[in-house]
Amino acid sequence: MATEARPRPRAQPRPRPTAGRAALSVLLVLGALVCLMPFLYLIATSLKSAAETITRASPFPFLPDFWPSVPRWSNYAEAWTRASFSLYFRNSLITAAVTAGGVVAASSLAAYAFAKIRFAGSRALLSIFVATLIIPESVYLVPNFIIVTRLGWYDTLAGLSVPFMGSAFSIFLLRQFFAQIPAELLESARIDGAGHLRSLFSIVMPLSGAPLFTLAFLAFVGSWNSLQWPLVATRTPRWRPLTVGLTTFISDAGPENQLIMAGALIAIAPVIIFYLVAQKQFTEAIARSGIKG
Amino acid sequence: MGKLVVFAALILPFALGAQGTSLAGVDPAGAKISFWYQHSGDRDKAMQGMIDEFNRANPWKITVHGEYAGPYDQVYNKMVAAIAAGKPPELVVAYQNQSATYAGSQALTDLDPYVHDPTWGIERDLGDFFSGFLSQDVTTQFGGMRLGFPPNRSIEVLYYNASVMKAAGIAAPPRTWEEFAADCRRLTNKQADSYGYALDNIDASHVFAAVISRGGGFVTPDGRGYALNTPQMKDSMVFMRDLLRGGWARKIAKKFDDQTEFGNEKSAFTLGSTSGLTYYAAAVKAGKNGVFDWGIAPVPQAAPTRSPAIDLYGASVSVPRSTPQKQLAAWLFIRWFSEPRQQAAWTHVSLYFPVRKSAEPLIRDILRSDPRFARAWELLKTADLKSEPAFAGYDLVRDAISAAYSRVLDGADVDSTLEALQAQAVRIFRESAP
Amino acid sequence: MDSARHGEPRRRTRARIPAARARDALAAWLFVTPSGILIAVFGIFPLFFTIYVSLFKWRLTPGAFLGLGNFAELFGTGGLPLIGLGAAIVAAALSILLLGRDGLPAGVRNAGGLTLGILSAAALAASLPAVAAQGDKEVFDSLRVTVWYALLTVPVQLAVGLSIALLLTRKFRGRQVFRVIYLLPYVAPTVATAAIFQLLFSLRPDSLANQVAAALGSQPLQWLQEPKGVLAPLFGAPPPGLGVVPAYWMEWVRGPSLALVSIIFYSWWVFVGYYALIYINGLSAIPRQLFEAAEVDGAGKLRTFFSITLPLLSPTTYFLTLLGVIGTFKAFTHLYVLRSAAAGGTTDSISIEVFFTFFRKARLGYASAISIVLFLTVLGLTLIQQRTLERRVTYGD
Repeated sequence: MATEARPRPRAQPRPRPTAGRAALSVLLVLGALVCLMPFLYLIATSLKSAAETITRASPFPFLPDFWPSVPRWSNYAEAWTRASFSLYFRNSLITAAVTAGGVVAASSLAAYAFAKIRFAGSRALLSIFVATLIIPESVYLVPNFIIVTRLGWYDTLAGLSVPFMGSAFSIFLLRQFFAQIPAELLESARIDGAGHLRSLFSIVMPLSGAPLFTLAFLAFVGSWNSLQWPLVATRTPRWRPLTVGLTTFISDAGPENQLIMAGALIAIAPVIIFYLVAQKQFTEAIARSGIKG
Repeated sequence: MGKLVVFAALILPFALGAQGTSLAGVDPAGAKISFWYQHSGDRDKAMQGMIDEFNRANPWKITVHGEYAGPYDQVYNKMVAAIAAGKPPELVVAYQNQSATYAGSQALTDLDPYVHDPTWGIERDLGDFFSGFLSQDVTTQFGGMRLGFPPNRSIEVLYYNASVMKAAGIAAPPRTWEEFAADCRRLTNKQADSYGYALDNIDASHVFAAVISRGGGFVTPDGRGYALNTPQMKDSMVFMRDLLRGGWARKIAKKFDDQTEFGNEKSAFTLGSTSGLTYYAAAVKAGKNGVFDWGIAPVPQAAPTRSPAIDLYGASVSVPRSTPQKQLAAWLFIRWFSEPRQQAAWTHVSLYFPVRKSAEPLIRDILRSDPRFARAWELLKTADLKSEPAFAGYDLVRDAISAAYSRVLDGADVDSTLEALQAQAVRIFRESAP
Repeated sequence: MDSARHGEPRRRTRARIPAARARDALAAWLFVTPSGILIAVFGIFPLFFTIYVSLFKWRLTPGAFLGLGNFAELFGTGGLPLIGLGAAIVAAALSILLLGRDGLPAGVRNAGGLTLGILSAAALAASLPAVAAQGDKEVFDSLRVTVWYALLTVPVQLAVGLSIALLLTRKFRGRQVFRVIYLLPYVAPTVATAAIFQLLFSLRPDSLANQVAAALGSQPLQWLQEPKGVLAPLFGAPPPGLGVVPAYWMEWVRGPSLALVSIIFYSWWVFVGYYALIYINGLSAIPRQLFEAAEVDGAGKLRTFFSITLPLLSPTTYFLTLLGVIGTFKAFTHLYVLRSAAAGGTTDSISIEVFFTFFRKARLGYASAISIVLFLTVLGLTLIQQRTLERRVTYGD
């Protein structure tokens, strides 16, 4: 072993093939297979005919009976047309985007105020906001529905997005981040005559790309996946999102499991594709939401 | 004092007959109403077509806006929210227990005055309706209030695989439970992985069908409460448990799986609604063995009878409270829909039964071309039709029945299970009562 | 708070003239207003509305004023059990307060807090069966379901998530592929993946779950439709000596139903990757030097793990535990999709129970009362976790 003046830290213990390490690798691979298996089942079943869902029902992807004898691509077309998926996609996309935009806008403003401006009652107000995070969803459903109906927002984009734009979690997270931006930067802007709004837009927000993306991402995903609220807040297919559309389709498709799986695949695929393409941003956003704050 | 008596004497007849006279003054012209229903796909399109026709043809220029609001349970959830917010639709599809729930919050219109109204009613046509159809929606819980009106109906029947039966030497579908058990045994073939009966242990209507076929029911003799701990209930559950244990029946995994099993010739018998005839036909066609000979028969009974006890069901349409004008408009649509011509048109699309006997000539073509529907129609006319309780909270009791049924099928002690079930039903009844 | 650069004169910020201060305050309130209105209308108002509604007999439309009538229905009216329950709650609250009192010496705090905690648990154990018997059995059953759900998901997800994170922080080729795969279940929409699991765990002999069971030598099981508890088949029937124990605790002994366990499997599948990701992030925040120093000191893998890794991961663990427990009470979508009437309510957590009370039972007043109790329970649990667990979290180095 070469001796050196100072022990140079090794980047990583040199991998030695041991039984322990091999076992761990096997477990890791097994775990990954467990994660993947339901998706393979989804694809396989969605391509079978109705009869084949019963006759070819092996659970192991390496056996031929797991897969259809001849893939029926027409299942997707059938599911697509029967369930207006294109409309539901559009609805989910627009609703989620609008919600995310609203959350970012409203929360940035509030977080800036809490972080950068000293004003009476700020701590109390923030505590009240944060306290709302614990309230169970069931408490919201009926009162919010009554409010939304009275406002005339039943079965509208506003009814689906606005109730979620007030996010105490986002305010809290952003505030932590904004607070770390040095006061001097804002001071110099202030001297140059910039008001708070300008400070927010020209200085604070450009520096906060990462957390802002995280919040927009979380708000988007939260809206995309929501089921309880859109279930009661929509009536017609006009603004029905994908979650409700899929639930309804599953009811209507009855015994046709292959169509249900086709519909589920249509609902999952774009999200997965988006995830694969933007892996890094996805994982960073999710990870950052877990940072102690 | 004298003046007061005279005054009262003058007012009283009007006060008592208020329902009838108040309808006469209402003008439905130009009313716009919305109708929530649960029909999807082809039935949705057909319903839209019929609604369009009504909108064009009705002399009062009433406009109905119909929309598919999801399957039954979604429609119900939306209705709960809508009533809480004070904005329900003017016409909605509802099972009797659902409309009972709405009525429990005073959100529903009593349709009885409309049925009997001298101007707008259908008094003289009442005899044309199948017996039992109209009484389903009248409930003791609300003092004889008519919670809804039938737009169509269906009955619970036995679906049987005639080809497989013939091959086993069974000439006709079983008429009694004994014959049914014997047939299931004969038709169970381990090698072919086929068996007698695909058992749906979740649909409480199947339990009801079994109980009434043995002369029982779900309610007390006076009709004012549940009676579930009965000998007929016990016999029904134990019978199925024994079939299951012998391997001559198999549980299904989820709703409608029995259809799939039937279509793939795995199970020879299933229990199902006649409204499923089109779906069964599709399942048979898509099955792995291709098309085979199949038919429907009355649910097996305790003893051979000419008038089997059969479960009659189907959701009705109800009219939530709104304005007298809109309520009347909704009723007029219902009335129009119940006319023989419209009923026949609807039957052609859905294979639901029309609610009026005089629709028969108009559906003669279906009766000729579809032997199974013809058989079902015949059954409708000869059977002893019974319907499930129309109490508020009944769907919770249905859940409890499914849970109890599953426990018995899995081997739990029947007597204690049914005792607990009855106690639960009584509690649910009390909690859900208005 | 503002991280001021040390040494920089802060004269400017101190000497704010009143007019500027007032302008600042105005700007602040204006900035806060949009979020404020939204949160007030859609977050806080519902809470007060719910409190209001809970005081009435309210089906879908307002009825008679009941005062605490709905709560009486929930908890029963028998005095003794309620006193016991009240005592348990008071003891727990005192314990929380005591543990939070920084002024007292740590020994007194911990001893006092612990004693009160034990007293609270004892009072709860004694009174809960009676309260459940005289109150709404369904709600208490659903609380039990929720507790089983929490006990079997959070610790497992933490442990397995951490293990996977440890494996995935080593550098090796294809690491990113594995990370992507493990997160897939979390990313995919719940409605869709729950629908898949419904088929995988069906009671058909040819379902995936049953074929695996067959490979392990078992008969086909009913999975999502099986209401019987799993502890008896796994560990044998409970010893007859337990006959003196109230029936309420005996139901605990039977364990979660197989239906609930199936749903728990689904939860593991979805969340293990998510927990792993959060842990990976936490692990990457630990300075490399610490590990190297430990290695130089001759510490073995296990020792390093327990003395360095685990303590430094405690903020992450705490965060995930908090999230997990609150999430358990809020979980809805997959419990709704995977529910079966045959399971006899053994998969109905408190959130499902509340939803059904609102909708199927159409009892807004009573459902609101349950919601308030649920809110207070979650609040209490959060506070307990804050006062007990957060103390043990090692922040920074």
